[in-house]
Amino acid sequence: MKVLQTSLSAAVLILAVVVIRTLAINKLPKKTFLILWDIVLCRLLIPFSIPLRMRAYNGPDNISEVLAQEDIIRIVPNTSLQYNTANIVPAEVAKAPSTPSVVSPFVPNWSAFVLVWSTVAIIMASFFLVTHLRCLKKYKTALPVNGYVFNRCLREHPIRRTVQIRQLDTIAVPLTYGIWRPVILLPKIISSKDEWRLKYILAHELVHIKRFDTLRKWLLAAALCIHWFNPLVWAMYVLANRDIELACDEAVVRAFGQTSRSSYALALIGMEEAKIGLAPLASNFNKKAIEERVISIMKTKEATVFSRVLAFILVAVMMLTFAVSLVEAEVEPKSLGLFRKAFGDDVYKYADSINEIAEESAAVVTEDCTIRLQSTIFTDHNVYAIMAVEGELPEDFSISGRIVDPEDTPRIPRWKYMLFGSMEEIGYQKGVRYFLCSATITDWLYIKPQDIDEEFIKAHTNPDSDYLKYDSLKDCEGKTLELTLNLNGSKYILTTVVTNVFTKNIVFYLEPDLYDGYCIEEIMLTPFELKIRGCSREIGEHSKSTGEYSNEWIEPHIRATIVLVDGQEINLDYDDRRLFFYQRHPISVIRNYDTSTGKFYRNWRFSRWELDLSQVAAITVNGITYRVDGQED
Amino acid sequence: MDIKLFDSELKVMEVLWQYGDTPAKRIAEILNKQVGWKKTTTYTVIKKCIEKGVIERREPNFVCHPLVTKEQVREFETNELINKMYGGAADQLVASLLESRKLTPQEIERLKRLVKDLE
Repeated sequence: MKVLQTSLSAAVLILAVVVIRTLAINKLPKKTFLILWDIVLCRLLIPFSIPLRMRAYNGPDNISEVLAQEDIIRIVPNTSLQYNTANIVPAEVAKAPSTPSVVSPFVPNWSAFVLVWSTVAIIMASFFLVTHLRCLKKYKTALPVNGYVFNRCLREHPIRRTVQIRQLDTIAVPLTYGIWRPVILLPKIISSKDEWRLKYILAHELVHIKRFDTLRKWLLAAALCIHWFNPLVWAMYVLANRDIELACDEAVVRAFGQTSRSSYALALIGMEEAKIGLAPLASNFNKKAIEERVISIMKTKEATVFSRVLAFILVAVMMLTFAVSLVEAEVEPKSLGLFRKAFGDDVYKYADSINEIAEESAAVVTEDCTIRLQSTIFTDHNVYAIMAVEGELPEDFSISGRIVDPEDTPRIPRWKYMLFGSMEEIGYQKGVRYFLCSATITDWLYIKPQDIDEEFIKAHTNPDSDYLKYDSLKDCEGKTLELTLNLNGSKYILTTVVTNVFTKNIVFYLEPDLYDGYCIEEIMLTPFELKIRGCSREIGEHSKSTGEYSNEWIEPHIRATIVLVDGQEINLDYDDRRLFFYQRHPISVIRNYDTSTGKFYRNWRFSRWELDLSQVAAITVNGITYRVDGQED
Repeated sequence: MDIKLFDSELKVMEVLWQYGDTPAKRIAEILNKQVGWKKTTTYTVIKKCIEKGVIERREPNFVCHPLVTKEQVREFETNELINKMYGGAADQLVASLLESRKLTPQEIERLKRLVKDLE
């Protein structure tokens, strides 16, 4: 509900103006209040806030319906992240996809509110318009007036638009209507002989015309119709209409000079008096307003430098507040804030790893709702994704995820990791519900579909489990996170790139310092592996018969030891026969080298144990110690 | 006979008194020149006059025939009919010098004193 939002932020502005008005009504130039009200009006009537991310309907092209991949779908419901289940999903939660769409109990039924709101707004608008049009018909029958007074007045207050002065016997007070071709209507009770009164009246009405006060009144009425539910807007309507008159009076008094104050006030009172003769019904309803007006007229002073400066500052501050309120409405909620709801203050360590998603492929638009993948965090083993849902989410909504390689051919399995996890609602803001999907990766290739059951999921999503400790999404950067949404029996796919993976590691980049024929370029320690990259020793010779150069690379033998803060040492030695001696810290080694360049890498993967990087003091590789604190031994 | 006519209605009647029976179209032309009324405005006023029984509509050509003489009509001074127009629903979409609601005489006296005090 944009209107509610607008109304709320405008309410703050209105309150501010009301406070300023109460405190300084007779101290500031009255025109200040007109400008302040104009700013509030702008806030109330600017209906749109340009969203930073345009989310137009994308058309069916971007809603990829997964129909061809039956094999995936069969597995997915059992293993999927289930909507609204805080924990691991038991298999039976998966529902038949044909459940008819039911209005989710979490989403208030806005359409009823919209109906009531628009009905009242239309009734109010027609009240204003019908009254005006009915009166307009009478205004049109007014007769022209002649007299030097009128001509002189028009000359004294030149206005670009053509102003007509007419007389109507069916009105009690002078008024001005028409915005572009304004007409001043005078009641018959004021004759051209009333010159002293007439000059004030005409001056007053001409100021109205000059300041487009009729237009202002139209806009005020429009704001009231739209924001009828906001009591502060009603207050604004009453006060702003008064201020229009006060500002006008002030201009008249300034034009005629200080001495005219009392005669002008008495002219107004005289008009009120004349009205009494016209009608028996009297009320004290506007007692306050007229009194305020008389006092205001009598207290009109020449604007001092101080009051001008104060007015300028007030207007500037108000403008700024207005601009801020407008921008706030535009800015999407910060993903950091949303993630904070899930992670607490831990979120700050991920702050640089939050990926805001702008891709079109990351949004699904259906008849009932728009689901958008807003942001992601990738860590070594986990995927966290915030989904923004606008509209009504069907009850049978479920979601499943996997990491796929877009370059894989269909012959080779198209995915690398399945995701296991849960989904929970973490926030509601401005009509948008936010969900956090948190999931752990698991290596799909090792699992047969029939093995996936409740026990399996429990085992593999337990953070204490040692499952797959040596796999990291860091190695999947550039691959695709694919979330399959199950909505009303149809499947939709959201995709985004796996990128900016948050990983904890200690890295040493070494100078390519050749010794013993080989060099080590990089040592990287993560909680689950030690990686060393470098270049092998080359042995080459020129063939005596052909003269051709042939070479081979000799991989270095590497002894690595991790030294912990408490002095404990973890030896990661291995021999070429691949017999591992250190049972307390079992490892497996992956190694390879490029036969043309001699570049090698060697990964010691920690099997069933994990290293707390904060406890690491140093790494010793082939006798050279690299201290984490940067000091050299 | 006590016939009350507003200024606008009097204006139409004046045309009829001057020119005798006149087609509405012609009246509209005359009044457009004289007081700047649009055709529809003139027709609205003529309709009102017919309702009040001071004009008779004669076909063809919507010829207007005055049913009263100038002497029979008393100019309608300001009165409670103004109040009818400003009765409940005041036009909010115009800038009027004063609010449509009225004050009591006591209140006006008080305001006058207030002006004196502040002088």
